[in-house]
Amino acid sequence: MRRSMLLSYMVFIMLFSLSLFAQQAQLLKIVAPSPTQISQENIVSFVIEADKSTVDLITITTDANATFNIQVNPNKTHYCKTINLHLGENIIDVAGYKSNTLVSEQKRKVFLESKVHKEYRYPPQQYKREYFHNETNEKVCASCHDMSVNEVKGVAFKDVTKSNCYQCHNQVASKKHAHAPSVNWLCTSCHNGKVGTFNEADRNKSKYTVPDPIGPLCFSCHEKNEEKWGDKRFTHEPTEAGRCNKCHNSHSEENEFYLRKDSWNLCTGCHKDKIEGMHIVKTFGRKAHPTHNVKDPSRPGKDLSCISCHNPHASNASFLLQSESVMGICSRCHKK
Amino acid sequence: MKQHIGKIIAIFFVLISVYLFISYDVSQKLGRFVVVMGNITHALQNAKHAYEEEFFEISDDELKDINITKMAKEFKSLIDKKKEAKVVGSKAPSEIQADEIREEEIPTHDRTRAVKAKIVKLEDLPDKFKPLKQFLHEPFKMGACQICHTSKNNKPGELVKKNITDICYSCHKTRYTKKFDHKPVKDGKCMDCHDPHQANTKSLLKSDSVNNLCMKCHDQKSTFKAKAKKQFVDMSLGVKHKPIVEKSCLECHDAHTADHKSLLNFDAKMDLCLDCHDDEKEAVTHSKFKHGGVNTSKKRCLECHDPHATKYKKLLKIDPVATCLNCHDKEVKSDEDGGMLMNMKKHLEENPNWHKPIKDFKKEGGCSACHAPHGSDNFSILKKSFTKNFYADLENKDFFCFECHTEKKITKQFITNSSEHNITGFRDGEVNLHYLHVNDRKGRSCKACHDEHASKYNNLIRDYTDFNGVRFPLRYIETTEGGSCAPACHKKFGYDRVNPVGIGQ
Repeated sequence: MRRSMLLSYMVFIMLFSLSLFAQQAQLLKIVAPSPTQISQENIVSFVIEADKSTVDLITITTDANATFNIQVNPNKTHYCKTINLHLGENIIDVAGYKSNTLVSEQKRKVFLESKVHKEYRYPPQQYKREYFHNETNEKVCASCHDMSVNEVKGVAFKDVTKSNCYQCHNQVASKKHAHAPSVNWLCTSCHNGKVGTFNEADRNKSKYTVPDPIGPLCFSCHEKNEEKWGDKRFTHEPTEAGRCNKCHNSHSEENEFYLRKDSWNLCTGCHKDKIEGMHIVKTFGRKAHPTHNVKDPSRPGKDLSCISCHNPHASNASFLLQSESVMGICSRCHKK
Repeated sequence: MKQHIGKIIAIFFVLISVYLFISYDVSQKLGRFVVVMGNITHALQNAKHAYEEEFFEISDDELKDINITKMAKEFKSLIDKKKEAKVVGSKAPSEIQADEIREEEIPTHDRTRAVKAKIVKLEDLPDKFKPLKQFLHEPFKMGACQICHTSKNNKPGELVKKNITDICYSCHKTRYTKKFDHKPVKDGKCMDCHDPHQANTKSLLKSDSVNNLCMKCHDQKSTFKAKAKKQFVDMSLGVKHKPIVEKSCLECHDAHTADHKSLLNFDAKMDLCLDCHDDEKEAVTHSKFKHGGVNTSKKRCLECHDPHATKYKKLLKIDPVATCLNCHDKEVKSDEDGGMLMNMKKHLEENPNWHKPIKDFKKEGGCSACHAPHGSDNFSILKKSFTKNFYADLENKDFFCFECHTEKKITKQFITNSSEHNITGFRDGEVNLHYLHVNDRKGRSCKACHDEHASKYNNLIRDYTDFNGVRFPLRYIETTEGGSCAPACHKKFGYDRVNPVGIGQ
């Protein structure tokens, strides 16, 4: 008899604790992102479901100690906030308060990957690629946001804030050097929902996927480059593969040509052997010819970099040099 | 020491020459010299071959193959065909070729035949014929009244035959029976135009000139209004067709009969016009880009021009801009590339600031200030070539715009003198921003920022610019002493003429 009593107690306690968990989960539901998610852009959008009766304040805290407070409104069920990310693992804390007492707390891990930083290139295995723009998620947003594409094909917005994409994604085009289609919010010219050979697995996962390799899409506008590089003897591997977005950020970037890093750091990210040692020639002073940190005489107003001598896309000269003759390459700077 | 002096000098000399050779200038000059000499020798070697290819000779065998007689025959038949084409087969029952009609028209009079008739002396003529006029009808001159009038009845004026045409045609044997007849001819009313006895005008016309005779009926104010129906010509208008003024209506029309409508010898729509207007013939028939308005329209030349007289220059029916907008009031298919041409009327209505030639069409000529309406070798039937590209090399300078606008707008980097401020208002202080936009590595065409027809903004700044098939807004905002732009090319940049922003640096 006692044994059965004990058993029933245990069952009760278990059920009770389970119900507690269940209750907590209902208090604050994070629709997006998933617990461990990979992001390719430096932003992530949080969509949180909350009920006024259980939670009246939501606080989002990033690991960089940025805090955002969202007041819960009786008329709304879903709340969203776009948060900036730093490279690598971002741990973001979402807490729910009811009259200043913590009632619910959840953590989300978002990994901002980068194609040009080796340490952030391959996210740990626990992270997964998720796509936001599917039917179920968009239904949630549609209560406040117009989720349709309001872009007229071939005509840019006069007032870019009128774009339906702008409200959530405005951060992507905010940097100094911005690509015209991006900063004019002609998103669907690239985000056409198609997939390429490298991202076949993403088919039908989102309305706005971009084909990978992206090359053919880039060349549809930059057609002259396709012509120019097509008949060259040597081509840089990413150019050949059509992976323009490996080095260029097609939205906006602080560096010229929308490069993901400044050109010297970008090149040496892969070509590490060129960082140290006697690249080019040893001069009489036993110093190597500089490759950066000096002014570039061939490009007035700009700093010397790898691209001063090398063509990053294609060239007829070996080593992808800008000129076919040795004298030609030197005389770009060393004029009589 | 003495015996070494020669060696030392030699070594010294060698060293100097080596030094000179190594030093940049000499080696470079030597290099150039070698290249130039090489070019000269190469040119000399090839010169012979180069000239040989300039000429080609036909061998005797080849000459035999060319059948000259056959060619001549073909050529002759071609000419004959052309002649035949001119001499369109008439339906005249007298089987007289159209060419000969003119010669046959005035019959020669046989005096012997007249003698048989009773000759009336000029003094005996009734008073109403006196004084005699300049031109006399041949039977009248001879006093052979009997040819037309009966002598049996003493009543003067009684005719030999009831129908006047029967009398006229008895001598003037050519009956006017081509495809189209003049109404009086058809009705047998020779006397409407001609006087049977005498007149002060050639061909015994009842008026002092051909034109006035025609205008008796073909004038809207004419009392003969009913007769001429709708074929009125308003010669009171300012601009008249030259042949009418200098010669007569008969330059184009035949008074009696013709093979083409409106009594014309050629098709009125175009062939007739091109018979005289050689320049336009060249443009209409041989230009690379043809204007549909002339080449494929219903009324051809007459679509825009009136052949007689109008209020507007070039004999346009309505004012020059309205003429064009008559068709370009909708999207029209281009003959050039099959694309659709914009609805210009709508464009002009929507955008109040017009390009001066359109706004001031009386002085500047309207659309035809830039476009050649009869056809041109340049796209959009432009009078001069213009670039189609967004980026245009300034070296080419085929910007048609500089026919009117000063080239200094784009060539002068700094506008320092206040007297030159009117060159361009697009400057930040002294920095000419046109220069920056056009002279860069990628110089831009004027059309990149300016709409050549009309715009909502001042200085014809575009609302949207086409780049790679996408229309990007310029987002131009004008201020009192400057403005700002935020196109796809760059972020929002402002400029100010008085307090420079420093955009040029």
